[in-house]
Amino acid sequence: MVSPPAATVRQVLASGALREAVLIGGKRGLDAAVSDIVLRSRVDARTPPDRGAAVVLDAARIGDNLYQVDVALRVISGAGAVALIVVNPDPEIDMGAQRLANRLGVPLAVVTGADVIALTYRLRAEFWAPDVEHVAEVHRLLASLRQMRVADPEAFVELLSAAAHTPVCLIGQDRRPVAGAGIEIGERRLAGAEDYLVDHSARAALHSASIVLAPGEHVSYWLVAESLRSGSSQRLLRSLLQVGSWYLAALLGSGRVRAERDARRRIAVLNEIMHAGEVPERDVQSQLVELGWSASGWNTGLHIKLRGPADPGRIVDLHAEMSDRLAAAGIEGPLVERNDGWSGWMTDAAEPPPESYSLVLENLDVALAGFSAAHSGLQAHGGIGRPYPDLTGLRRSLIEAAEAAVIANARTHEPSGVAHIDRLGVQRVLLGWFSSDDFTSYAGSVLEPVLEMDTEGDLLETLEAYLDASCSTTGAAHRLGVHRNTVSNRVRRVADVLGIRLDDPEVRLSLQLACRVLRINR
Amino acid sequence: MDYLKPGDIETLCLGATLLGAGGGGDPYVAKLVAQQALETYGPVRVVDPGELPPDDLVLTTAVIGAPTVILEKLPAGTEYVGSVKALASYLGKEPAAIMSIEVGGLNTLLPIATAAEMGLPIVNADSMRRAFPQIEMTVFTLAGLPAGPLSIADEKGNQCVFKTTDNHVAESLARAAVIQLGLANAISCYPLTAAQIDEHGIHGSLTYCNEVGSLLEAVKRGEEGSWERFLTESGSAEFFRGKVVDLDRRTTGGFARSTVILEDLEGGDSTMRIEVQNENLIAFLDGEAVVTTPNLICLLDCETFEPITTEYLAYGNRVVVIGMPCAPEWHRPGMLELVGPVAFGYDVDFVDLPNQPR
Repeated sequence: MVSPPAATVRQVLASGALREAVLIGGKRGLDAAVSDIVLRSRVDARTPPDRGAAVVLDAARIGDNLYQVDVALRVISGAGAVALIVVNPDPEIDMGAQRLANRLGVPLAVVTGADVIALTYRLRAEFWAPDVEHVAEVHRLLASLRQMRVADPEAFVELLSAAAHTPVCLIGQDRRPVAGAGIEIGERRLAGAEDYLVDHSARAALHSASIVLAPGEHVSYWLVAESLRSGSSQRLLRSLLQVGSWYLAALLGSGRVRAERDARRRIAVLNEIMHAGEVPERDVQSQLVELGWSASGWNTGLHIKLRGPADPGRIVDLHAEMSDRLAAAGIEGPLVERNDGWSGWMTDAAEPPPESYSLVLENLDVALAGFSAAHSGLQAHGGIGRPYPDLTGLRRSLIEAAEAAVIANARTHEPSGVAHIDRLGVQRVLLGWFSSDDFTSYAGSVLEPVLEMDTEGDLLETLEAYLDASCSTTGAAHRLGVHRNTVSNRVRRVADVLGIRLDDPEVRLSLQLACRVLRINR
Repeated sequence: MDYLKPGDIETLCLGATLLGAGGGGDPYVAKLVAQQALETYGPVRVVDPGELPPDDLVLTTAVIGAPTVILEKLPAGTEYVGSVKALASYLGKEPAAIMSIEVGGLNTLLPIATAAEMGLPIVNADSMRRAFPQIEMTVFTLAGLPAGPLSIADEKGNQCVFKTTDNHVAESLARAAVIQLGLANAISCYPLTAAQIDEHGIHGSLTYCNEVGSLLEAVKRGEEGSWERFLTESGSAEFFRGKVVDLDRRTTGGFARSTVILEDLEGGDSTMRIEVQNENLIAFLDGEAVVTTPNLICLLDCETFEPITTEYLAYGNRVVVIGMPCAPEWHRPGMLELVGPVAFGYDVDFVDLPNQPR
């Protein structure tokens, strides 16, 4: 059975099959929902009908035992069934049954001179017609999905739209369309833990089916559609979107499994590179060859640090995109998923001249800027190491790249940015501070009084901006987009609560470092 | 109750009407017959079956036929003694006492007249302690005692005796004879010894009939607390007070069947349906069986507390419906198949009364 059709007793009694039926009692129950229509030759407490059932009773077996109609009404009422249609009663139904029907609110209808089998058959056919269409529509969708070889979101959404007779759209985590016609989601609610939701806040109901690849993960995508139409078309839309979301989840899930399998191989090789010396170089080389990689020549390491809502699963999902963006920016070479982003390298036959560093830097900057722009909420900062020869050189360059990425992340408020280890100079001194867990916890305890009162994060941001702007309230106000009095007011509050004087250079230096460390580690 | 005198009959008659459970025939004529007999032949001694010598023969007599005919065709008076004598003659043994087969309805009183006329005591026992429409519906059948040989007599002097192999055959043969003899005849069946009755019969039926009659008389006189006392003492329960809003009488399968629909007198929307085959057999309250045969369903007038028999029931009657427990002797294996709802063709389970049977 599909979900129960949204028909009431009133609608069932109005159907063509019951044109000759006379309602003789129980009007109060006419608006109850009917879940099924069943034919019975008797109804007693031992064989109660299902909840929501409308019972067609063949009175031929009852004869003049009209008390059986009373018993049937009582059992129907007790079982939560919703109507009794007595066919060919002889003698006529008496007042006792009518009164009981009224008392129980169970509609009691009588049909005479009818073929009870034919009547029930026709009644059921009419009753289930919308569901038969519904099932046929779902079946057609399943058949089309079976034929669809390639996971093309556009073609898939088009298929769903055609089946649902309304535009269907696939949207990503940022609620922007990935495929299909754009639907204005606005602030309307989308399915979360429950895998299906209908938002009725606007005139058209917004249906959304969520797609979650693995338990505990965020929703990856939603299939959404709007519907202005009747109950049965809303039910169909629900079935189609749910089938679609399961199909997509399975498809994306298998893609994920493949990607993670590849990622695991890449990560394993990278680990061996990072532990060069402990593993025979020959083994590492042969694994590199298996993956189609090379480290023979001059290797320039690069590291991309991702911040924002990005768990390792998402990094795997975004791997192909990042790889494409780097290739498009002219950075060709292996790329490996890490816990905080990616590591990769470029290999040249000869040592690249220092003049080429800035070109690499620019290219990476373009790739990361494009990536951040495409994923609101995600930040990507890159670091580039110096070129060194062969496997041991690669390892050294990758370490430098990771350090540079930390600095790149720390020194800018922009969603993306790139630093080259060769250009950092004195800033490298800071690296130790930035990557020290001890200093992070020290910074947290020093600034704790500020953090406690700074729920919005304004005070710390203002303090950092003020210190970055060489203690200029005007400069900080300009960067933050607030009045300079606001800046001086906030800075004074910080100084008061910490009980410090900002004219002491030692104090300024340690506060500035603490702010930076807290920001990048937050 | 050692002797029955003409003055005892009124109370007994009221009790008998109640125990008729809507059927059993109107005892009015039987009352007159019994009173007349007691006046003419003197009081009748009432004996318990155990008081009689164990091997003494006890014979029964009763009217058999259609209640509607019995209502109009008055007994001549000779047929009841005639039926007893016919059977005694066939058996070659004189009866030591007379017994009512059915204490309920007019068959409670007719044997008293016969006993008076024959100068025999009446046994304080019976086989139903209510009315049932068929010969085999007795506790004797449950005990495996035969209804035959049995005799049928009419008012003209026609008599016949059947020797039968089982009690269902006895019922069919007697019924066939009655159809030929005018549908209101005398029958004498279950010729048993005092010991058999003592072991298997329902004891104290006449006393019980007299007690419920006397309790009901107190109610009719309007005595304080008498209704509650009546219910408590008889182990009965009141189920409904209602007005007759529909009454369907029909004859199917050789039975006078009817359905009575009562609407709540207090203005509620509850409905009681009573299914009748000669006697009131099942009472349904809002589609649920609340009293079923062999327990008794009795309808009494709301104002006078007079028990109402089915043939006098009419549209607009205001009645109290009570359930009375059947005699405890009924509660034996085979009861439901013999006299339960299924025996009358009702697809309904037997329901116990809320009170303990008395």
